[in-house]
Amino acid sequence: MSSAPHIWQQSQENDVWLIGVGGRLDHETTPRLQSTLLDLLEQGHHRLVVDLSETTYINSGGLRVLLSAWRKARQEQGDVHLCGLNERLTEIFEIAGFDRVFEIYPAQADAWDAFT
Amino acid sequence: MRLKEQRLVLPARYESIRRLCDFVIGAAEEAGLEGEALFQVELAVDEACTNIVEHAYGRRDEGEIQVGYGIHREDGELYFVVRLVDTGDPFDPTAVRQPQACNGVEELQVGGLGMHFMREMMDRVEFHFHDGWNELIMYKRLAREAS
Repeated sequence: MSSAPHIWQQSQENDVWLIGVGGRLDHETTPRLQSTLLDLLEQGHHRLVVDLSETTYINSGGLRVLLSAWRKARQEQGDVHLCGLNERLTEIFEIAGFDRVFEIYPAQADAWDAFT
Repeated sequence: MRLKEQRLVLPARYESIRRLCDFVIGAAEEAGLEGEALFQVELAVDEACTNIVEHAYGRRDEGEIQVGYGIHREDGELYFVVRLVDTGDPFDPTAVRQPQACNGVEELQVGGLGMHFMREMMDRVEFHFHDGWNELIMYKRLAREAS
């Protein structure tokens, strides 16, 4: 599997959108994730699943972008669910206390099922 | 173990951070760190550089970050040491509130998250403020020396 950074999005049933982050979520890719999430939220899509199963690295900037999207989604009665965190990302989320903010699921299907 | 002390100086911009991290990680690996510990050193250096860009230089696109590394021996322990130097504004780490101190997830603040990560990822973090320059030294334990 290539670890070249990339971000993708895909619509699901019931206006749930899936956003995937492949590779490193760092100073290079975080602005791209931010614009992807903000574009979807501004278009009125407030139920988002961010798939981090192919994400190999995250820093405080990446966490800040996810938290900002979560706040905006919640203001519109939506939510941002996360899925697929590996052990290292799970540790980062726990140290930051973000595991108490986000609903985090093992798999994509669980994360979007939780919206229905 | 022999590890020559080296330094890299780059402009204090976001674009420099990856290269500074790679510079340190290569040496950390050579020093014997691996897996989880390497990830932790990388995150600590990333956050330290980000703090320098954002707080010491206030994103003014000026100044430089000097990153160096070496091995430190203390009380029978060996440490991989990372040293960062900048000439920006003094940054007082004690003024940064720890994220866990916030009440409830709705009030969660992320301003001090980078500092929190540095302290959690490394075994020791020291700040020194000199006349016109700032110094941050971070220690990661390698191994106990054979007695």
